[in-house]
Amino acid sequence: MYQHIAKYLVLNRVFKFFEKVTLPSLLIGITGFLLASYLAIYVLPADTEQKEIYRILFVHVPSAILSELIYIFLAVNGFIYLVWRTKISAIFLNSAISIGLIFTGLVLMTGSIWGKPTWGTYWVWDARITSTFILFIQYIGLLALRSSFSSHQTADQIVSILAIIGAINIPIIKFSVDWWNTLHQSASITTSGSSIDVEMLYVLPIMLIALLFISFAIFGRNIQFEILNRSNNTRMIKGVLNG
Amino acid sequence: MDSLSTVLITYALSIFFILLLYFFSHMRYSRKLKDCQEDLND
Repeated sequence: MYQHIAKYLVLNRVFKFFEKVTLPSLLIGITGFLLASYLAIYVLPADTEQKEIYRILFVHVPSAILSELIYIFLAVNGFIYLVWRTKISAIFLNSAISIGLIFTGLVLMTGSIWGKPTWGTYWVWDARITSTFILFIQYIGLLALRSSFSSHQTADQIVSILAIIGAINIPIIKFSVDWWNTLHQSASITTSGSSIDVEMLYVLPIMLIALLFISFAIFGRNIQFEILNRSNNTRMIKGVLNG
Repeated sequence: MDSLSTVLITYALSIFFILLLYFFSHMRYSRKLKDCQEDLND
């Protein structure tokens, strides 16, 4: 009884919270994206070797970071759901899959566009690109699995297990450039420093934060949908909508 | 096509796909909200 009331109160609060923050978050994100794009395209100097095309870095790298962070988020929420059966973790997990998919798609797209003038090809099956492509397939798999079950509980369990198992790919993506001989360059930013000039580096966190804000807005809308979709009694829906 | 145009198109495509996802998420939520409100009114 108390557990049911607690769940309802949490979902109610989460729903209201995202009702307030989603639109401002989207607007901040878009403004940040436009600012970072302006700085990256028109303010920063051209690279001595790659000339103008290196500017793709400022959308490619943040997308790559987000695609991996979101997958870790899925795995953590999957684990929490399996251990403690918290409904909100399953909602978080389901709400973040499509965002991870879009950023992984963007990493592959921007990487291909960047690869053509620098490597002479749009695609090569090297370790970094292949492992990122596998991540893309994993996200599609999670989305497909989620909608394959009529019961939310079964879908949540299966998706959680798959998200946890799939997390093995994240260190593979991260260290692929160190473990194998790849066409893709090794990490530009490490704990020992950055190979990107400080003059150019500051745009990267601006773009990352902007994309985080937009992701948060999408996440919020997905959460609100999931809460309504899972609220199976009228009283609960009434409570969520009316406060 | 020169490099700067390629960069511009890449940025435009990136924000287009991200906003498209927001649009779909928003539409899906709005439709569900409308359905729930109609159910409550019935």
